Amino acid sequence: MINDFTRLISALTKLPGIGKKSATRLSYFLLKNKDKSKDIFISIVDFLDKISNCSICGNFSSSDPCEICSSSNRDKKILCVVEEPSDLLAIEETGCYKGQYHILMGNINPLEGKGPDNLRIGELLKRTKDGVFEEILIATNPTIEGESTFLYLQNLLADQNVKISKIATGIPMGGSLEYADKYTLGRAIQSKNYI
Amino acid sequence: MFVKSISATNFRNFRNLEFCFKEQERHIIIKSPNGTGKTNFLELLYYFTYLKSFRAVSDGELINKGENYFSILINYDNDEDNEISVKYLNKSKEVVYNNKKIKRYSEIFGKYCSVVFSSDDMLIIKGNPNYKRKFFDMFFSIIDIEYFYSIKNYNCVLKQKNALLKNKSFDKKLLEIYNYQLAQYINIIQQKRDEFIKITSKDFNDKYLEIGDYNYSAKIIYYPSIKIKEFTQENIFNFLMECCKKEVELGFSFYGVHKDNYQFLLNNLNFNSYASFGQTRLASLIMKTIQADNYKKYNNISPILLLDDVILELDNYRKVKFVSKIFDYKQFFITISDDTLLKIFEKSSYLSFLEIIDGKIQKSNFN
Ligand SMILES: Nc1ncnc2c1ncn2[C@@H]1O[C@H](COP(=O)(O)OP(=O)(O)OP(=O)(O)O)[C@@H](O)[C@H]1O
Ligand SMILES: [Mg+2]
Ligand SMILES: [Zn+2]
Repeated sequence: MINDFTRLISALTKLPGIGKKSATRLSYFLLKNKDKSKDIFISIVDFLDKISNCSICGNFSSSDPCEICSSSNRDKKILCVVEEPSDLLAIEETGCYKGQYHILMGNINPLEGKGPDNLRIGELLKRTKDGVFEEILIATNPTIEGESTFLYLQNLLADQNVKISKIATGIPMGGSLEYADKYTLGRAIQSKNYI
Repeated sequence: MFVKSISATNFRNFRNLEFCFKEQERHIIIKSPNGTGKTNFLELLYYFTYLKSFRAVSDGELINKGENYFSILINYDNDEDNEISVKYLNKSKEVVYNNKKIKRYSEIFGKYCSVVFSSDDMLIIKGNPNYKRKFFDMFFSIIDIEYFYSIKNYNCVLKQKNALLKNKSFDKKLLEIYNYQLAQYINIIQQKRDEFIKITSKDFNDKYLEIGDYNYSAKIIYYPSIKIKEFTQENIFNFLMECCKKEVELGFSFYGVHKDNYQFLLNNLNFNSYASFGQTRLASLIMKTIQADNYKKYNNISPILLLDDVILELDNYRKVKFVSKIFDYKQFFITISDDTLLKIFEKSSYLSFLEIIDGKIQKSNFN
């Protein structure tokens, strides 16, 4: 029993925000509420089976292509590049943007062992090289790593004939799109800094 | 600023400390034998400034031996009543500012300002370039918040670049990006260092002549490590790109503002080889006084001064002159271990004497 228990605890602590204490508490909860727990697990497995990555933008989705990529009501000529799915969500919530997305799945960060090859940059170049987009809006986070990623992409895209813009205003360096309030982010998107 | 009360549990040798200061208790003299906790007390008063000690110790070492936490609280006046409390337990600290829990430590910086004068300050004048850079980075950050952010961002890019250079088969295009970002910050930092050191050097000379009463001039010179004819972001970038080969060989970044240096001169000669001990001590005291003055000048804050055994090396004439300079501050704390120094403070009408006995602070009557 002890062994099984510690195995579960160490598995649970792999979740973000869950320390040893919470994991222990959760384990006891699961044991005491077996029916409820099984329901939870069924929905987790269900969820994991259903949701995968959209083969175009990379976002999590239950359909492929995802709802945004397959929508006919969205502008097909503008592409917004973001670091994480949560950034896409933050921009969608502003309601100010109606174009396409591309998710990099992170930023360039050698300190954490993440180089350009670990991001969805190859996929991005494939999407943009045919010249279907008139404008690419790069919305990496206003951090040093986000800035490096932006500059790197800007260099790569320089020889493709496309207008590149960047959102910059309003969000202080060191911030994050995910946590920027709706108003600030919305305004930032509308007043793109053209370069 | 004015400290109204301070309390501590399990901080250094203070197992249970509580003390209040009355409004007229502005010039506070702590007289106690060696090893009783005078420096510890100043350390406590300093801690709230940057949430760390001014001595090179970890927070764990501040806990009273045998205990597992410390908890401290300060109540101070800065036109309004403010309170900061810190509890350190299990390697993490909980900081509360005016009843609000602080998420990022940097939120607290600038709320409570103190300047400590310690024996290590000699290193500002005589220390290695690293020590001097650290001092001036903090010093200039008080003058200009953009300087602070530029240094922070510069260090961030530098770390990424070093991580990249460690890896032998790295992306050349990425190195170019990092050099581009570095050039941007180097340009800002170098210009500001140049500008600020000119102002500071003048202040330094004026004060040195006034308090030191010497006939020689004193100055500070800034030596940027990147030597090019014209400093523009573009030239700096080109310089960094030319240096790539060497940096790749070394496996870390070798050129940039993290290699800059400063030099203190007396009579146009280096303090290290020319000045006497007392002259060097005075130079370090003056640098700290200018730092304190800058809080006033640029931020309209009168910081708490904490002086730890630092005026001992001055002769009596210069002691008096120096002390008269710090009388203008709203509050200062000074440690002494000798009665003969008391005469210097005679002119003050805000004197208060403290002593430390068995980890407790108490008023003392030896005036
Ligand atoms: N974590 C700790 N727990 C308990 N006592 C400590 C701790 N750290 C230091 N001390 C004690 O504090 C004393 C040193 O205090 P401090 O350095 O403040 O002395 P001081 O009064 O400044 O002496 P001096 O006049 O020599 O400078 C030592 O006696 C030491 O035993
Ligand atoms: Mg001491
Ligand atoms: Zn999609």
